[in-house]
Amino acid sequence: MIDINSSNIDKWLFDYAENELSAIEKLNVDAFIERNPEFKADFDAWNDAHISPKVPVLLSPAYKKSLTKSQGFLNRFTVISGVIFVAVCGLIGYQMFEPKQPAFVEAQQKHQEKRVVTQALLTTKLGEPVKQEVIAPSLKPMRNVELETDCETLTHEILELEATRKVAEMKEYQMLSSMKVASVKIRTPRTSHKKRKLTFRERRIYWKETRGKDPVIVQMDSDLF
Amino acid sequence: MKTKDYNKAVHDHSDRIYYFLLKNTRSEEMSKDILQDCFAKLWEKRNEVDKLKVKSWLFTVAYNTMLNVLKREQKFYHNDENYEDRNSIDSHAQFEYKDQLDYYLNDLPPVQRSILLLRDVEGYHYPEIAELLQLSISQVKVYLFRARNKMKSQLKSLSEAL
Repeated sequence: MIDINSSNIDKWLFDYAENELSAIEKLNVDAFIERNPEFKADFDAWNDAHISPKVPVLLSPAYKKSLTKSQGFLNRFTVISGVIFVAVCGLIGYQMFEPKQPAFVEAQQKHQEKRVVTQALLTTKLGEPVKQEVIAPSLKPMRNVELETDCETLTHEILELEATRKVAEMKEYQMLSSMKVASVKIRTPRTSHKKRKLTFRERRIYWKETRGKDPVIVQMDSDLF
Repeated sequence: MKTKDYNKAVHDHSDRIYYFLLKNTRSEEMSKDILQDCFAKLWEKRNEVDKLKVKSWLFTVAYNTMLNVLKREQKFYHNDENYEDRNSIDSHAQFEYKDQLDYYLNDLPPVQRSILLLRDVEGYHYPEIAELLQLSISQVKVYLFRARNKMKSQLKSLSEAL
């Protein structure tokens, strides 16, 4: 350990003031000052030669604000989220309000439908005994007719039930009248369900047109569905 | 560093940097110019500066910019080697103690003054000051010793004169 003496006292006092000495070294310096009071003024001056750590507030809030940067309402995340939101909304909106065919095209199609249906009816009316050979081809054009939205499509099960009910009805009718039903054959389609099925309306037309006629063999071919 | 961090740095450190500059330059206008320059550089390099070290980065930039400005101005710059004490105790005897310290501080060379300010006001240790001012630790100690010794001598003379 270096001795404290008058030639190196400034070094010791400097370290003392900078708080760079250990507790023992500080005690040694204190003891030296006690023994040599002529260095007391130096000791005090070294300790006083410090600037106050207090920093005054010198800048105005307005000046500080001028140094800051605007954070901006739209950051990158917001922009990306916004774009995705708009795209999704646009897609949904397009699906909901998909442009329809012009009115005159729709009207034309409906007219075509009516014409075809009428043709089918006329054909059935004209045939003296309504036979399957007549009905089946006459209904065929209707396969291309767009179904109306209020028409319930016939599933195979419904068709079967309907036919059974009709058979019962016809048998009942037969009892009341002199006509008789030969037979009703239902051949359920073996083809895909995706194929068009007869609607109630079509079925209604069929039964209406054949009522009161000679006994009819109703054979529903899978081609009709 | 994001905009939010940059603005926080302005809020937290602008007063301290300004005080450091003002003590060194003794010119409000010059200090504000340098301060503005510092934060402009920080904004430019915000992606490179670590937000945890922004204070020391700002002090380094402020110090270097200040030295360049002072050199250009040739007004307040003093060379450590040929610097002479121009103080007269008698002429400042009427000053308050705090004013006297400020006056002594103003008469120190920029390097010593900066070290003193960083040490006393900002509470940095020798290695941190050395890193900030791009000096060695021993250089920092020597400069600090000289600065304190000068202030101590002046304070001692003042107390003896009073």
